[in-house]
Amino acid sequence: MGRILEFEKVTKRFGGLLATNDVSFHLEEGEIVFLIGPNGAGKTTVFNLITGFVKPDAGKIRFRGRDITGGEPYEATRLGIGRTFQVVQPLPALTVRENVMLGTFLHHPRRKDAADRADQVLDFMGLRSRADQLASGLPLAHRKLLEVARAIGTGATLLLLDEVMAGLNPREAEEVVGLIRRLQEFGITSVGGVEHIMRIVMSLASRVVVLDQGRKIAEGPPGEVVHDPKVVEAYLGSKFVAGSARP
Amino acid sequence: MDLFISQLLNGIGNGVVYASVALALVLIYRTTGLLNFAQGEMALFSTYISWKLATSGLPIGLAIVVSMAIALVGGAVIERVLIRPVEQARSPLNVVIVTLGMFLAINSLAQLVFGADYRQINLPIANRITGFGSLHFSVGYILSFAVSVALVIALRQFLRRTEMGRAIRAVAQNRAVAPLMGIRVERVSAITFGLGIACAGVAGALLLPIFWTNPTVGGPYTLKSFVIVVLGGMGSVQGAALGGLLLGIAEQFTAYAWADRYAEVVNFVIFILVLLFRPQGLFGGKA
Amino acid sequence: MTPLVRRWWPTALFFAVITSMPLWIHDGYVLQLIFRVLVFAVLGMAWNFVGGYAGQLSLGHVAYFGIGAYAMTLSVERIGWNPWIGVLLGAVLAALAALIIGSITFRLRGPYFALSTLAAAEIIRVLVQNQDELTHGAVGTNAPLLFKAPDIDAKFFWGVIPLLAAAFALSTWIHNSRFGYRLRAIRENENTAMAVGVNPAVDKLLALLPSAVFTSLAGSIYASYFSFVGPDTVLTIEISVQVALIAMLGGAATVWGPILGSVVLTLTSEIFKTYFEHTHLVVYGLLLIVVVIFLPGGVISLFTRRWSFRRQVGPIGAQQ
Repeated sequence: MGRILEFEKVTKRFGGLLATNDVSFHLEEGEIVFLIGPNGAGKTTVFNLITGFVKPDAGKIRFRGRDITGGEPYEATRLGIGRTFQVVQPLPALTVRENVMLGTFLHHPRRKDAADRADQVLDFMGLRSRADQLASGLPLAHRKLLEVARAIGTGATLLLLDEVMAGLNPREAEEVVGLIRRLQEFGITSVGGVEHIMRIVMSLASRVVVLDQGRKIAEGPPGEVVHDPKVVEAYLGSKFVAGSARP
Repeated sequence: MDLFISQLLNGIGNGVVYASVALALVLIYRTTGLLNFAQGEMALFSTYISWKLATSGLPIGLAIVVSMAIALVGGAVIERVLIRPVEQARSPLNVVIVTLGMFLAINSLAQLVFGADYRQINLPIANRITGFGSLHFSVGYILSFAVSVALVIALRQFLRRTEMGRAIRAVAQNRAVAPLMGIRVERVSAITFGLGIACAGVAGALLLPIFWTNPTVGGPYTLKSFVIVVLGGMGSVQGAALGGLLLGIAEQFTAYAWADRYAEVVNFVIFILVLLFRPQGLFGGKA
Repeated sequence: MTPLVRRWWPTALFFAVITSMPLWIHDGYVLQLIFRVLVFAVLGMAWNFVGGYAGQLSLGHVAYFGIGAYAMTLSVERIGWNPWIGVLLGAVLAALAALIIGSITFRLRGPYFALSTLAAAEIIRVLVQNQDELTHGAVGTNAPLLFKAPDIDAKFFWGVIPLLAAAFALSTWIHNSRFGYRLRAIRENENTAMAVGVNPAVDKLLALLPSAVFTSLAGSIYASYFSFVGPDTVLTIEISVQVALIAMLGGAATVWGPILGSVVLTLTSEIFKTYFEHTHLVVYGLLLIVVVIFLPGGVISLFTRRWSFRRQVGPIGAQQ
């Protein structure tokens, strides 16, 4: 059990905006860590930096000890980092199975093997019955599941879930929570997530990292972090900090 | 030095006309995301209508206005009838086929209806020559330049100040969100399309007193428009205007310094160079 | 995957019928027409690799067509080679051109890309047109014959069939392979493709290489058949557009689509020229529009709808 991901003093600017400001955190293998913070805090940017969709201006990113700073997205995927997108991006003209096959093809070059493996993942995600449907015809919840299925299919060991719960009703969200707990079955040892729904974060996360306006302002077990005055202030404004002298 | 200036001015003159044709494409592209391959042909048709009206007795100013109105309505109808249903199948390539089909059909139709000969309008005032020092231009040239500039400015004001103009800009910025602000995107698309054709038609009509027009000019104008649109950053009116100027000047100097025949390809060379080194165009924000 | 490909007999029947044609079709005009259909079927299939599967709308494929035609012609004329070596040279040069053009144009997406390919082809055309000493400029010149009399028509016909078969085989392989799926991913959504381990830059070039080679080979044989090369016959925008239309209207990203597309478009264009002498282009243009509105999946969707229970998408599907 070691550090599967190290994100060290990373900074990223978009023009005048400091999206990521000297942020450092890490993931141990076997952990589920969530990035939380108010809107615009730069959480998705962190994921984009890790997976190579955005290149950092400073800092280092290491995956299993290997320097992946500034690498390309397909390199990150081939090394074992899977990700979903906040705005779901399926491949609309392909079937559900074919979507997942895009992932499984990475380690299963032959079509038959890729299809079989895809079916296994679809079984796990509960999408098997829709395997031959076009991805464009799926309702949102299933498209989110498909997104996760595809990432799982790539044989990732670290899965990054970007607001996977958004748009799901409570029952659907509970299903996904259950699936996340069982990701071990597919060799995914560690999970990173960006989430707004606190209930989910509290029930899943072993650790939480809080970002605000590009900086890390707190880190620790979810129960503790939620009471941290800096965190409360970031979300709700200084009026709500308990024990604060201000009215 | 005089030669340099006169070449420069010629280039600017041409450039402004190119710019006004390109503006139309910018409008259409920004709001609908479509590259209308039939742009030149439609503009040409509108120009022909101007010519027909003018030679049938209408004063040229009125002829242009009437043909602009026809273009506006016609463009809106085409957008509604031919483009919208195909676009809604969410296949951008299908729309390309439609515009290509229209290109062929309209080009051929224009030849059938108006004949393949070269056409021009004889405007006595346009043939007068003025100048200062050793520089001479025809008044018609100056007129055309002036009207083109006026068109660009008018368009800019329209987009800035009027409600429809703002609606067009809103759709251009974010087509998905615009309906939330009460904008009827479909209507805007149709009108923009019509407006685009009308603008290009006016630009074409402006050329009538000076140049000969014939059915084959549509294609090259379409291509030049595309190049200008990309040069200018795929969306800004100023960008298209300046892009047009740049192209006009570059063409003129290439023709002079090298050979006429290379002038036609300088657009493409510039195009590729810009795309290589500054893909967001001269004025675009992000790549 | 169309059921037509799953069974082998339609393919075998098709090739058997075609191969037999010179034996029972004696009308030179008809044979020439079908020859053109076959050549454009090859061109359509070649374009399909890049345009249909990978979704990159190239409007500059005529560049490779012209390279094939000119390389064969000029190498015979200037160096005295056997025209078949010239054909090979054309293929090599086309591949090189593909690498150069591809690495520049593939950096762009959507309409930018289409325009840049058009620009590249136009630049080549203007250069050829103006290098009178080297290429005979705008006038053009005679192309060498790849086959000799007797039965020259039949030999050309039989010469194009192996090319068609090879393109067909490659198409089929791409359609079912991991590479083909990677191309489709690039077409549907490049970001998603990258997220599943696809390197779009490399794969696009890998698709363009065979595309350019097949286009070049078709260009050589076409020019040789008509015994002529000139910028107005082998380097025109019209050819680029026609090739793209054939693939898109026939059914992009399918194996049989471009073949059907070529049959429909080439034959109807010919028929229109005969029966609608002056208005044939108007009718042709309208036909394109009508087909696209009523058959968004291309002509091939007429067949897949009956034989298979799924698949009702546009030729390229939705794009972000």
